[in-house]
Amino acid sequence: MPPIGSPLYVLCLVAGIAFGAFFWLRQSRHDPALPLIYFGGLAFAFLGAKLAFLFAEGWLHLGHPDRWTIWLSGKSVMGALPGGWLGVEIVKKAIGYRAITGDRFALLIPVPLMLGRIGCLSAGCCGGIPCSFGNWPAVPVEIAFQITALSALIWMNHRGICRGQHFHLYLIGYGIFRALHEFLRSTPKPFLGLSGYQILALATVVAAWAAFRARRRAEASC
Amino acid sequence: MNEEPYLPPREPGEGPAGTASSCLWTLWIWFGPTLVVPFIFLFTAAVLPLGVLLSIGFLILMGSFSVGRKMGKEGTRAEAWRVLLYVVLQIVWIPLFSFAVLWGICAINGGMKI
Repeated sequence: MPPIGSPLYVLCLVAGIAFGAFFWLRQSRHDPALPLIYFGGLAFAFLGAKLAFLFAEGWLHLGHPDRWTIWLSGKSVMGALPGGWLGVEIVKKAIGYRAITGDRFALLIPVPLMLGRIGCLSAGCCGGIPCSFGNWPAVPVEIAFQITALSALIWMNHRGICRGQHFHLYLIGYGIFRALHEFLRSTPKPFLGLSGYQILALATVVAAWAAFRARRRAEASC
Repeated sequence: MNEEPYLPPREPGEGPAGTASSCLWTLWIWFGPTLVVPFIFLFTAAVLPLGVLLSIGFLILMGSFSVGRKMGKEGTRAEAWRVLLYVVLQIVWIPLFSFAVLWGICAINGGMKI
């Protein structure tokens, strides 16, 4: 039976959004374009999350009696990250904003995702496959990844390592982690033994790697 | 090369940048419609086109009183473009967020978050 909704999940969701909004609204004191860019990222992250779910497994529930509930509530981080990235780039392009925002976004991502995973724990979803010691602890492993990523991002920010590339590096890191971790998660694998989330993770790695190289080339030519 | 940020004229009732009233104003601009639009739909449930019309009108009004004036120079294409962006982003955001919250609050069966 699919998991049921949880009020704690909503609390975590709202807390994650409030965390990001607080940071961006503070930043907007110096730059009034930032709330629009943040909101573009947020809206497209939700859109991407929904589309990713529909691509990866939403279509498998076509004949399910509760399909509308499933379609309306399902979402995935693996679509939220590239979706949010696309949203930010679209808004920046539309308003002619040229400054780099990725480093600030990268620092903000792990905390809401950790909160989201705490929500997953309370809702009993996003679990792992059965193994010798019970079910694989997929959600705690994801939280551990986010803690590690946040520590690395803070360290890189503090030391000034790879400035302007932190978001790309985060996407590459999470994409690789997710593509491998997906083998241990109890998600449908309808694409030649791969899940839709794995395909999205690999596509995100490729796109982020291309963006990383493009920025590096642009900086070298300055 | 970065463009010099456009310093916006303040709206009536909006305090200097960084004050509590300025923060509340910004919060209202961006997240106010998330609360208002579902209520518009609730009250006009019997007449769906009216709900859509009122909601879009409300969003255009909010957009032109906020992002249009705050960041664009009045009367320029940039202003109209920003308002359009504001309305589109709100239209994307509001239903997706509302369904996510509704699912959690009602604890309805059948949801999945991966």
